[in-house]
Amino acid sequence: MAIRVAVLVVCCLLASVGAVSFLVAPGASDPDPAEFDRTVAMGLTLEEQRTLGERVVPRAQIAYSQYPYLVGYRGIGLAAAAVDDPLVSQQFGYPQVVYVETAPPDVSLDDSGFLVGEYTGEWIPAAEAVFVIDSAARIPSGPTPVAFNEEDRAAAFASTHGGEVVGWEERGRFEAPPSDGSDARDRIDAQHAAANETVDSAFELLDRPTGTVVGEDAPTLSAALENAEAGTVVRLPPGTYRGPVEIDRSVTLSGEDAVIVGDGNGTVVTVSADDVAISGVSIAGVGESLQPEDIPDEDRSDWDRQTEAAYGYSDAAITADGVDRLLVTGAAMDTPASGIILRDTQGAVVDGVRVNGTDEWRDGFMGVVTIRSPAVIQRSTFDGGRDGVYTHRSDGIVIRNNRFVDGRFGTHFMYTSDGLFSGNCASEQALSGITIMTSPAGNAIADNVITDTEQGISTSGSDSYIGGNVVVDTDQAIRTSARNSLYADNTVVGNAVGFRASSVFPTSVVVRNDVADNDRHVRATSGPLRVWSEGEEGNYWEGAEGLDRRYSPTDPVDGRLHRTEAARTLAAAPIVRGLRTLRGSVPGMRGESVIDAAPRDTPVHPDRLETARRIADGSADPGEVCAA
Amino acid sequence: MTDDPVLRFDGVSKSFGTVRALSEVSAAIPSGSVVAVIGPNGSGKTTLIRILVGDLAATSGAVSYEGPDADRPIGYLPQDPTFRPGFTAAETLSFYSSLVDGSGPEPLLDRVGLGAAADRNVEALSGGMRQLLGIAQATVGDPPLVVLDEPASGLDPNMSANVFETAAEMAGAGTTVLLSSHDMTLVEETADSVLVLARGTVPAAGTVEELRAAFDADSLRGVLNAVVEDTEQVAVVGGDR
Amino acid sequence: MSRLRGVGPIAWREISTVVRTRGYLLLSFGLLVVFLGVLRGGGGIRGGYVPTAVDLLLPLELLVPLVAVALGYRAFSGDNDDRSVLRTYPVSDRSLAVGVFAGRFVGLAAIVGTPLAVVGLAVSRIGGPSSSVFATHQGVDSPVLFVRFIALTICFGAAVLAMTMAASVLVRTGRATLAAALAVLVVVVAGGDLLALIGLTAGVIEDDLLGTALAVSPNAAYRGLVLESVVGVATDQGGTIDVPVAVAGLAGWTAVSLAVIAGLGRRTVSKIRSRFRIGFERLKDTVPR
Repeated sequence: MAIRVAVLVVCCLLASVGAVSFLVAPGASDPDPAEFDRTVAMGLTLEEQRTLGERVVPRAQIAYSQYPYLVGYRGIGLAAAAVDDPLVSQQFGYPQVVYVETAPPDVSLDDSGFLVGEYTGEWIPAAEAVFVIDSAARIPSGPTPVAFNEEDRAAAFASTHGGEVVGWEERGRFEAPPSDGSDARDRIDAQHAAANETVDSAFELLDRPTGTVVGEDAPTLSAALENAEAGTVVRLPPGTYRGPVEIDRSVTLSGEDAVIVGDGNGTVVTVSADDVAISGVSIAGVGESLQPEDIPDEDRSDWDRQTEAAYGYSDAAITADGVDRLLVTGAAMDTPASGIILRDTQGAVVDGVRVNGTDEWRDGFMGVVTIRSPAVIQRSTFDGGRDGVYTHRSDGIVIRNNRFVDGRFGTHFMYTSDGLFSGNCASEQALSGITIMTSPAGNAIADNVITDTEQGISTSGSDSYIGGNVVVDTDQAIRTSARNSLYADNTVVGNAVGFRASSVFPTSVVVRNDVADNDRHVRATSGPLRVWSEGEEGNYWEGAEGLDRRYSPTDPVDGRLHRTEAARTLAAAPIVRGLRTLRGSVPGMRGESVIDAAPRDTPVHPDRLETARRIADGSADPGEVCAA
Repeated sequence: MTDDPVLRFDGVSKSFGTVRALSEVSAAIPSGSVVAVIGPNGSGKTTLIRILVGDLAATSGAVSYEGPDADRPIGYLPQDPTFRPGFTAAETLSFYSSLVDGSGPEPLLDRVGLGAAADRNVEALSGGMRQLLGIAQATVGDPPLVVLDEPASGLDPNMSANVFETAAEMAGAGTTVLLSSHDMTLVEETADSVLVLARGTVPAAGTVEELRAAFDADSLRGVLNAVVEDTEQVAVVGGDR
Repeated sequence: MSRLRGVGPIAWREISTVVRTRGYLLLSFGLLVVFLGVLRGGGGIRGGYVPTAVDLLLPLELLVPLVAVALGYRAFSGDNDDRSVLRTYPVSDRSLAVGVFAGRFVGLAAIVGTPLAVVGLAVSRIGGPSSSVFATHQGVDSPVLFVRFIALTICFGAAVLAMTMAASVLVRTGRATLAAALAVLVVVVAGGDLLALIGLTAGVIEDDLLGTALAVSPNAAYRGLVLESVVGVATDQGGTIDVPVAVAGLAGWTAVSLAVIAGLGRRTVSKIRSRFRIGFERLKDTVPR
């Protein structure tokens, strides 16, 4: 009898638990705000964060219903935009609670409009806060709303710095720059045009009258340079010339079959004047040192002093520091360290240059290093060495139509935003064709051909455009790790992994790509559901032609459709179909899930796909597609 | 043995579609007696019994229980009793017992001689033991009327005799026993009165002596044969009404 | 309480029967294996309670009716049917219906609920990324939602169980019981949705009535209630089904089936049965051999 009673009691208990579950509100009350450093934070590039120094940025935190981490926003405008973004709710659920950090009571603005004060660490629900918009307050990415917990404080701020006091419900008026990679894409033509102007201007330096001929008018190159008149050409007849030399006046050094050989102990040609051009010469005898002997102790920002020292002061064929307008064209250099180092140089153009580095990348250094020098680097070939081009804080740099062979990274963007990497060919790199690090913003990687490397394109940061690239025969073609970016019109063929989705908080648009012949079209890490289609616009996936339903490249069955016909049979199984339908419609964290709601039946760029296929099977050479 | 009937049925008829199984059958079952229902196969014995215990609804007629009030007025052993497999004999009887707040299964089992098999699963019981279990079930709750449909079927002569003895004992103790059987000898020995059923009617009823006299037969078997002959002569043209 | 006399022992007997049938234990274990397989393929466990429920919704919609039918059709079949004897006991038809249903329902709850509880425990252990780097919060994902999910699943099973038992009672012979049970299975799994689809295409059901029309079918009601009260809460998407009608629908199917089992309206049932038989005979006569 006792057992019957026990069973009865247990049944009643369970039944009441079941009934109560409908009365109780699920989950705890709204989550508390966290320390900002522990949120998944976004909103400024690393460089912008570092240059802030003592200044502050109005911050927000959002807890989404189907995303387990608190998301931090540097910039209230960015948070407001995210709250109303359907893409965000599709992937992360609805915003459960939004917190904003109130501005310090004694907040003021400096000359740039940045807020001066200390982070208060006081987080209040956005609905309870008051905001000042349209004031003079700014953050590196533009004007910003400022949050206060009391109306008087807000009003006081507005009267001093302008602007209007509003509540959270008027967040539609908050300033936030559109951040979806389209700016980067739409800027490309203008960037090319501006680069053309820079190049034209630099090439004017070749139209100079001949001043000195070495060997005739002067015994040595150094002597010629000492006596040369500004605005003339120092001509080098075929032969070998001893360096190192310094060009300290505005002359053009021009030669053919002329080799300048250094003493193997340092930089061969040092440029310290504006308006210098170096044309047609070859340079050898570069020193092997990768570290500086000493750095000039100027009042530069501290935070990147170490980085700059590590990368910007090796021995090089040509080094220019603090000059305006420099042209290096048609030159060739062999170097165990770097090829060309540009520091704080404006209007520099590297055109048609060939840099041969070391065979082992660990032994060598960079083809071109740009430190705060947004140069134009074009039509050049970088073979071996470590990185072909290494950029540091060179916003707006243009790297186009070059060829990168071997080495570690074809091009290495560090702390560089708004750059353009276009029309290049990269192959055989040990690590990747192009890599972007330190979360910059606004870079455009377009129309490149990358083959036979470990990683094709490795991105970072936000608001970038990765489009029109052909990536073939790599271990991992494109990492979609940049946020709020646009990955479109790429052709990804014959790789071990096509796309690697690894962002912790993915908000990029991935559409109109042609993906074929990869072992795995997509590899995704555990994270939120990623929807890789926009409305009716999806991608072309080999194996998904004629599917007429949503396609998931990470699904164990869908992901094999292009490799075995039998997968199609399994894919049609009722339970597989049913699971697929439900899973794709509910946001939330799950292992490995990428969904394309509108997969294409035909490729977006069939000719390019055909060529990529032929490159993959060896019957065509990458050079056929390469613009370089 | 008293004369108050325990059960009375009046004009009971039963049709299954167009087939008439029972026609206007009436009788009163006196209490404290053993009443046997006999008749050839297909005569409607089981149908009648099922109607009497309430397992089947009559097409017309009335059945009324007029015995003493009891939780379980009528106990019933169907022709082919079903026992839920996976339970022991004791558990099975306990279950039925619990429906009438009855006592433990041991006395019931002992009474029918199944004491030793109490903990054996019912599917492991022989046909005869199942029958005994069924009889035990029919007596659960001490119903004033116990109805047994062919209680001796499948039992060897000894056990059959036992069953009928038990029935007589029960009658002696005041329980009315209504049973059907093909074993004329045992019926002859034990039954206080007999209902003869043939082709859905009761052409003859009474004590054994009365019947033997009425049909000029030496034995109950002879009575039965005579009744059957008569009935067949009457039922010349379809005879369904 | 005298009307429900005997419910206890009868229910207990059913529970004992289910417990002693090894097949049901294997069935429960088999369910667990299927659940884990489905979840492994979908990664739902790591996602939390709601993604797990989403992953399991479809398999459950198919498997729960299966389990319910398996339990239901054997309730009154063959050796389990001692109704002729039970009628002699002071046990009303109502008690029998309620008792057998209650006992089998407990069995269903255990067979379906245990694997789901195991899954729930797995989620609480494994699920949801924990991080030493990032601050985590629960989102709107909580065991409360999963408990709701289990509760709705069991209620769905109860309705199908009752329907199956009713069907087996309506049908007399043993072979036909199985057929009737399978018919219930098909109707429950596909029928309601099919009818709604036909109604929608034929223009009989308007768009805003769809939520109500669907709620009448037991499996659609179940699905809709889960989407509404489990998934929808977490994703703030509602309106998938007419909730009161869905709840009433499931309760209604259960109640009506229980009434049929109890033999209420036995005369109506007999009439329907004989009409069917007559009609069937007539049909057989008209069909040429």
